[in-house]
Amino acid sequence: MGYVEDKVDGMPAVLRTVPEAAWRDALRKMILVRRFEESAEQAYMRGLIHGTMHLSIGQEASAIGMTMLLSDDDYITSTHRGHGHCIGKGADPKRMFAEFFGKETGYCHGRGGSMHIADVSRGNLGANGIVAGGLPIAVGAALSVKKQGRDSVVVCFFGDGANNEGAFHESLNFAAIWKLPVIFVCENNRYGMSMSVDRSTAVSHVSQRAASYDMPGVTIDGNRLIDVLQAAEEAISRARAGGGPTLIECETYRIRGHSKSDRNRYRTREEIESWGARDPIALFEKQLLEWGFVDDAAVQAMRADVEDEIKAGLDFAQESPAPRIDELTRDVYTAAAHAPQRGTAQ
Amino acid sequence: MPTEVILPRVDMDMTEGSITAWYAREGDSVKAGEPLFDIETSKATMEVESPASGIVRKVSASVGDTVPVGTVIAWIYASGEALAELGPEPEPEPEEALQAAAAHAPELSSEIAEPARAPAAGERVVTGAAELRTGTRASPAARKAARESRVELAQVSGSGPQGRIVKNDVLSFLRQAPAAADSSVRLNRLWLHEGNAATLVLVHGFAAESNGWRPLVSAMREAGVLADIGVLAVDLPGHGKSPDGGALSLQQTADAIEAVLREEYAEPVHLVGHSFGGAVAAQLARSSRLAVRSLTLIAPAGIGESCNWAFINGLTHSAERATLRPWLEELVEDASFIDDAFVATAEQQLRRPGRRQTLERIAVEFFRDGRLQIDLVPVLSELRMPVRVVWGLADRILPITHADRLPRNVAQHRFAGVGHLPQIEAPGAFARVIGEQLMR
Amino acid sequence: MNTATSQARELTYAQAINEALAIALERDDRVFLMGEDIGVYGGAFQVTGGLYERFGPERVMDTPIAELAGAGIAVGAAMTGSRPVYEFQFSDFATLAMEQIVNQAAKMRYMLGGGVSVPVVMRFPAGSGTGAAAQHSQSLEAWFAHVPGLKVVQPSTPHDAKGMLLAALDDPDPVMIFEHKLLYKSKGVVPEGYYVEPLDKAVVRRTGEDVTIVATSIMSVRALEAAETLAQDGIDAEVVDLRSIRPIDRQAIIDSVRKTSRLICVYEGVRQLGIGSEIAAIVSEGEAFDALDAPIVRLGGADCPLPYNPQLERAAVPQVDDIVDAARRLVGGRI
Repeated sequence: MGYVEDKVDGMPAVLRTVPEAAWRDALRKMILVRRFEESAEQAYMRGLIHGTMHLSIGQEASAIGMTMLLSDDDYITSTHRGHGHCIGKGADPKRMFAEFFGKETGYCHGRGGSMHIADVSRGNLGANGIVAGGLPIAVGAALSVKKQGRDSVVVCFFGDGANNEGAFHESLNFAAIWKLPVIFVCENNRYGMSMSVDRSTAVSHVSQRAASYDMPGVTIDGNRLIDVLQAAEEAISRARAGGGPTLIECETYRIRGHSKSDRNRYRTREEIESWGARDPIALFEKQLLEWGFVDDAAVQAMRADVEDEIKAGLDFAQESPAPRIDELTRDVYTAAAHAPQRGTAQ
Repeated sequence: MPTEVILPRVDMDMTEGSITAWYAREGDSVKAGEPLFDIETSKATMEVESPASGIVRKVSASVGDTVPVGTVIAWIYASGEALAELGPEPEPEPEEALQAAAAHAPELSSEIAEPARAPAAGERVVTGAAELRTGTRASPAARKAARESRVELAQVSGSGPQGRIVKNDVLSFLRQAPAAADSSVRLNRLWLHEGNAATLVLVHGFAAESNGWRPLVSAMREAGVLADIGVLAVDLPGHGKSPDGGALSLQQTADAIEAVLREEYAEPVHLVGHSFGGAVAAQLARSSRLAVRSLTLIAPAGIGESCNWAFINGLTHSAERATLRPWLEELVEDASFIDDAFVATAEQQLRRPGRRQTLERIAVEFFRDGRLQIDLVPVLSELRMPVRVVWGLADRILPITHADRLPRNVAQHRFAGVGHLPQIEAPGAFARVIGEQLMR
Repeated sequence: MNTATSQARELTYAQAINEALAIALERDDRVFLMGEDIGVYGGAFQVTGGLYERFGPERVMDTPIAELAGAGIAVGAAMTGSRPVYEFQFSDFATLAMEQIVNQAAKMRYMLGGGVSVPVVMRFPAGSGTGAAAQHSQSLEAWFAHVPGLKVVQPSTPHDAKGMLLAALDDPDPVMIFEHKLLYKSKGVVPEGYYVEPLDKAVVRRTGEDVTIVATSIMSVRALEAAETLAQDGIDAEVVDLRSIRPIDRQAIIDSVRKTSRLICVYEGVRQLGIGSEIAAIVSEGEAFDALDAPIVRLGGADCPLPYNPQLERAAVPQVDDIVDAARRLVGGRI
């Protein structure tokens, strides 16, 4: 229902395969991610959040584009800058806030914090605090999928910094030799922490590395949701059909510093501002308005709705109980009574 | 593990020895039992044998060196030792720090604050037979056995390395018959409180018995002075449940009590004696070889000469409760302390077979015609432990004026409004005095 | 321990592991093996011989030399319904996979608040005595026993090698099994069929009154030999085979020392900060403290990398003679 092929001339092929409602949902999700990040930042600055945070403001298109075609049977692995990926995979902001506040009602019951948000039962294998830590795990999940004869895929997010870790190279090699349904998504936001990708990486595009592992590799504009979605759709279809892995490089930018302690000494104000002008949400909103998928009123309503959701989430987090000290060592090991995991062959 | 070669103690009083000859050098092979080196003490020169077979290594004392007893002067390695190099004596740093601290007590904090220098790899640290902070080297098992049997480790000789006391040493010690005080009377004793650190020994007075101490023990518990102190009350010969020993002298009575203390492993003790029991306690404090930490006397007999003969006589010969009560009331300032229970107990004691005869005999021996036959003052003067005396100003049995004769080393507590039984009439205050004595 | 059938027959330690793997592959579709040269080659120590032929390349997967990703793949597969067994060619190569073992496998469950389990089994040929020198002879199990979230075991007999591996495959948490290379050819009675041995209980291999020897892996075997010699001297040694070092069977250690009052710990890992340190601490901080009648003795690996020369190699780790000598001195009151 409501496919747009009859509405717009010369538009991207992917618009034919994705229903209109999904586009609106994508916009809402991007706004949700943006507002979520900004609210988390506010809460942090007010001292409500322990530790640090890695915000993905400016990278919403990459996160939502790569996850909007996935179901609960598919998996993602994410990074320390993964709030967007988690929301894209269906995470509830209120449980994410609760986790940031260290509460028992958070996704990790307060034990993980921002860097380890996960919801394994719905296919989110977790954000990871180790750069490139999630790549082998993603490949392992893809191996399980193949063995279990499912057509699920694993979307593995990582940053430009990860592409020089040994684990990146080993993982891509494994995925290629065993032809596994994993999609490696490098969100190249041009900087590790302060090290620019020009200085750190021997090739000019991360996607060039795909050639070393004999898999398809593509570089796209990570700030244009349509482009992201197009690449995602191709890679996902390939994987589901047994065609093996793909490497997608999303060129994007993070508006904020690496973490809350970043003083931005390694980049210029001009650079930050020029990327700001290519805000992915603004770009996509403009596009949807052009195509008539939304009007201003609808967008307003969307934004208001997102505000309500955010507020409810923050309230929930504030009111939630903290973990009990006497449960400090709970879940280090699995007690005998626990049910088997999802996806068991038995 | 390599065997340590220590400079052994070969004489009773020896604290150090000098090495006059070595029979093996670094790297030489030796056999257990063969002569290894000679030492010279103040008395003689002695040959010391090798404790093990193997290779001599890490010789740290040469001919002419004088070292303290117990110092490790070499090691014997078995051939093919496969293990990580043993370091020097494991305790040097903390001991050195502690010794330094002890030597400069006012600067205690600065001494301890400086970290002890760790020996560099390969460096030999020659330590003395350093005194451990607890004073004795003993294994945990030995300590536990000693604690449970109330043995003082200082009395036990150790068969382990460097004189360490092991459990067997404590058990052997216990199996020996304890040196008993000369006594043929086995006195009845009553534990009124459990404790491991020391024992408060209570000796009652003329015609009384051990249960009379119960109100005091309650008061001491309440005052929190007992902590880990045991309380042991002993019935004098012919009193309470003790057999009559016949005509015993004061010293023999004291010896009989000492025998009880040894049997009960009561050491160290704090002695408390009331009235006649005070004289016994004081005698015991002077003559005993046990560790007596303090002596507390309640209106002791033997300070002054006069005593209330009428009371002693009246008490011994009262035929019935009605006549007994007024005599008992002489004991206290406030007659309400002498309730029916008190009288009934006293009467019950007096009715025991042979009791009155015993009391009569004691009365004649020690209180003849109202004149005390004991002179405690020279005994008290000789005592080195803290001695306190508590006396009621209204004592009608042994008047307070006696206290004027107490020697200078004795502290006096004079309780107003109290008669001959401060431990019943003012147990709280008395408990505080005991508490101060126990803080030794 | 439960036995399906109880025919007594002898297998080597390696054969016992092979049998366990075969049983597991047979009864549970989720189980698969990963490792270098485990397929047609049969594994560097011939432990997996015949399994490739029987179960095929999907169940017995040869991997490239990439331990970090290999371990991570095992973790990811375990999180998503598989039961992988990853064979490292030498325990020394665990160092290449440290990130995935320590930061991921061990912590995933806890960090995620209990939302997932990681039922991965990793097997490590370990220890010295084959002249493989410094980088192929280590005993690093103590490192991993230091990490909450992991389970670390060291079976010393063929019977336990099979039973503990089968138990590990049923265990929902990461289990690291350190197999001493010199034990692969050792023989012992191994029941047929499926049975399990607990992953958290020590075994008293020999009861005694005079001294407790707590040992791991091949040192258990050496301790038993030493005990025979000591018996001739009239010294009755109790040998406790720890079997698992995370979790540790504290009670078994305490009970034994309370009986004998003397303790020798024997282990191949470097003496300093090895498992003997933990055993000694357990005794000195627990109910066994008052039972100690002499200092605790630790016999462990020397403070150097494992050398190549065979005499040096032997001298670098505790041998039977060292255990005998230590027990003689300890019981003789010379320590």
